Amino acid sequence: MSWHGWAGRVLRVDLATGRISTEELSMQKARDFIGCRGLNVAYLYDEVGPEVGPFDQGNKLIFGAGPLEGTPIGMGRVSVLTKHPNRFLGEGGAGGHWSAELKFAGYDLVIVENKAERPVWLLIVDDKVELRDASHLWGRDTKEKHAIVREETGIAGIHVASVGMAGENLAANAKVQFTLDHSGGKGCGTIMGDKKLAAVAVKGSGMVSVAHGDRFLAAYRNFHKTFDLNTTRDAFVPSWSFNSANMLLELFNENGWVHAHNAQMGLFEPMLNDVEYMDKYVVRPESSFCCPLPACGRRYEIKEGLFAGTTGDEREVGFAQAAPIVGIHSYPHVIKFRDMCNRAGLDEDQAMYSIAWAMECYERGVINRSDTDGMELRFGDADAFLTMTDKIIRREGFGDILALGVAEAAKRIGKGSERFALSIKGKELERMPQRNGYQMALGLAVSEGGPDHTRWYPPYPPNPKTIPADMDLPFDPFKAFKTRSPDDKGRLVRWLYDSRAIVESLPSCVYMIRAMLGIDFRPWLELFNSCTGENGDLDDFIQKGTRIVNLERAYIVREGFRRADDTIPRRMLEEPVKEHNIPPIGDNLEIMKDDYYQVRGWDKETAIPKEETLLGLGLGNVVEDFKRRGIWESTEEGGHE
Amino acid sequence: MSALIKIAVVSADLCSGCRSCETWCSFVLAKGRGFRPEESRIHIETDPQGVLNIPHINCLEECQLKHEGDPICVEMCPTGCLIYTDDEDLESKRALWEQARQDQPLFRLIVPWKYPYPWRPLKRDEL
Ligand code: SF4
Ligand code: SF4
Ligand code: SF4
Repeated sequence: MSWHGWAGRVLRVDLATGRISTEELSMQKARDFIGCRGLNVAYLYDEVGPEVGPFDQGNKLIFGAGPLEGTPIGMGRVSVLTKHPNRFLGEGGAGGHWSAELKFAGYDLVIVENKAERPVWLLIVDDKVELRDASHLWGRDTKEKHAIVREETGIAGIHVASVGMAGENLAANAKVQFTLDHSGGKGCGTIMGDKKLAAVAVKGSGMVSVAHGDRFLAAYRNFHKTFDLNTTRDAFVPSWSFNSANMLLELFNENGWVHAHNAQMGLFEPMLNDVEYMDKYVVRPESSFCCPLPACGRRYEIKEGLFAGTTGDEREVGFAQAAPIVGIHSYPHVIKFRDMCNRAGLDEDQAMYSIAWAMECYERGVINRSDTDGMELRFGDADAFLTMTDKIIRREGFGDILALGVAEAAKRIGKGSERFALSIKGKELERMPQRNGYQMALGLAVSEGGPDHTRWYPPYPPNPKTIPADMDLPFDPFKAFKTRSPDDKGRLVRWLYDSRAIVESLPSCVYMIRAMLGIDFRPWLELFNSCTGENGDLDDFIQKGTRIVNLERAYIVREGFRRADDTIPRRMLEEPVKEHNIPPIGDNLEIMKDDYYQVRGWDKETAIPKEETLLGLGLGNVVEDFKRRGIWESTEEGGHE
Repeated sequence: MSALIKIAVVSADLCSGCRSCETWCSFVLAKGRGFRPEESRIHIETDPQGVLNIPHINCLEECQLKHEGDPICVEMCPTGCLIYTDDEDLESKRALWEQARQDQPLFRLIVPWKYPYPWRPLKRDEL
């Protein structure tokens, strides 16, 4: 069997016995689920059932690359998947180079099974794969882990995935940290820590084969035009690269999307303008593998004064989004915070929303100094913010409670504080502002992986007026792209989920799904077909995305998630954005959910995919599984928060 | 007589470490059969602290892999860090870039001749 695109091999590592093996990738699964995010869930569905608890031996941790990884479309995107500590899909993507190296080493997937007794780390250099003792790595921060691994192997270009102290200490949504400030997989770091897997380092020297080189090159050049500043027709490409931080904060302010002070307010004063920011902190560009955007990623550095010498990489607009939530007006503190989180593998969102929730509790008198280890905890106190972050990492005092995640912390504190715990399915909201917009509310609610904007966020839709009239779209762009009306959101959000599932499975960076590349999938299909040698048509291609999302839904249904779990925080449901007079979503969420489930072919009462829907997608194995387990007969109502 | 034209690095400070050059060079060397950066004639070394990416060029002085005048590594370099030119022009471009990045911090990230500034401004009705 000769593979193009796919490496065709799966690496299995059993931490309990130390056994390492490779097997051929299932061709059927590859065709049905593409790779990366899609293939990961295909394997997890078959191998980790509802009888396995998240912290049981039987839970697995899967790292996936896809068929286009290692080509310039892949952008080093890796998807990490496990059963989240709260039982939904603990899935997350990260960029960098790690996943490209995995492909060059000749693997599509790494499946980690069972738990090690003592900390170990995994080294993958082409066919040489070994587990090594990690007692000297455990307890170190992720950057130190990377440096030690690089030194120990003597391989300069090695890329490392590791857990930090947050994962080792089992913080609720700890992430996996990759070389050079890339991270992802909230909850995966927790399970990786539980399995005592300190790091996975990879370097490859092989080839990612392409079936039709000339076609692929032509398709790439065509794709690339969207990202070249000289040829792009997407107004966001230049601004994304160079004005992002404050231009976006302005946009968010204008629309009332900002989550200022734990989303009590929809406005936040910008800190610096773009030129000042760039001048003060940005040193040079820093990109993921073959990213065509000239400056989405940049290296910043605090050159003088407070926290001088702290460096990191910025992708997207973290600064604009993070500071408002806890109300701080100091770049050095935000930069330091990011560095602390990256070193500890602590999810920034968990830290921010937990601390913002605690600040709100404190200001409302729900908690006082006797709860917070004697600290004053108020919005805008940048030093207190960093001190509390450090306590979460060390699980010290009040930090030990916040490390449980904001939902669990609110449960412990009670007194109505659940009302402002901004989390869904046990995972905090993101920095990405998503306040009171209709498709945002629906997208957030129905996610199988908890809040994760990369699954559905529509920030760069093309102007409906520029869409060719003969284009066959599964929704009406004039209605669907309106953020302040519930019209046609079911079909729009279904399209967003399905299309993003495809791109995250090829994989490519979801920031590439912009303007026409967000609605016209023929360019993506040509890249996929020319690389892999497949020859399916567009309908077949789109159906792969639908299939992936349905399998993800089936996974959480099997874990007991139901319609009631598809919701958003009460603050968004019930409170207006006062500064902008934007009404809360209210009952419209349930109306949009009806619409969405119906468009999906899922039962409206339960949000369980119907038998004919699953069969239509070729998911006969799920139908059998559901029948055996009596899923359609069960009267479970969910309630996982 | 004109000077020899070859690829050159404007400054390591402009290299994002994206490895587009490496990856595409290997594709053309393999005659489109696949991507294998290991075999490429350009390699990006990232220093251990991740502070700098340094391109190392090992190719023949005259590249055989051209597309519309530029070698593929130059075509695909997103920042403009790599150029295909002679020594004299390289020196003047370097001076131009040094000046540009003093004047406008955006040019810490890209070169002005590849992306003449200002770009098309953001129009709200296009969002
Ligand atoms: S667009 Fe940004 S996030 Fe995406 S691959 Fe490029 S550098 Fe990474
Ligand atoms: S000039 Fe040609 S051979 Fe040299 S690195 Fe670039 S593409 Fe490769
Ligand atoms: S393509 Fe340009 S920016 Fe990217 S690694 Fe090569 S020289 Fe550096």
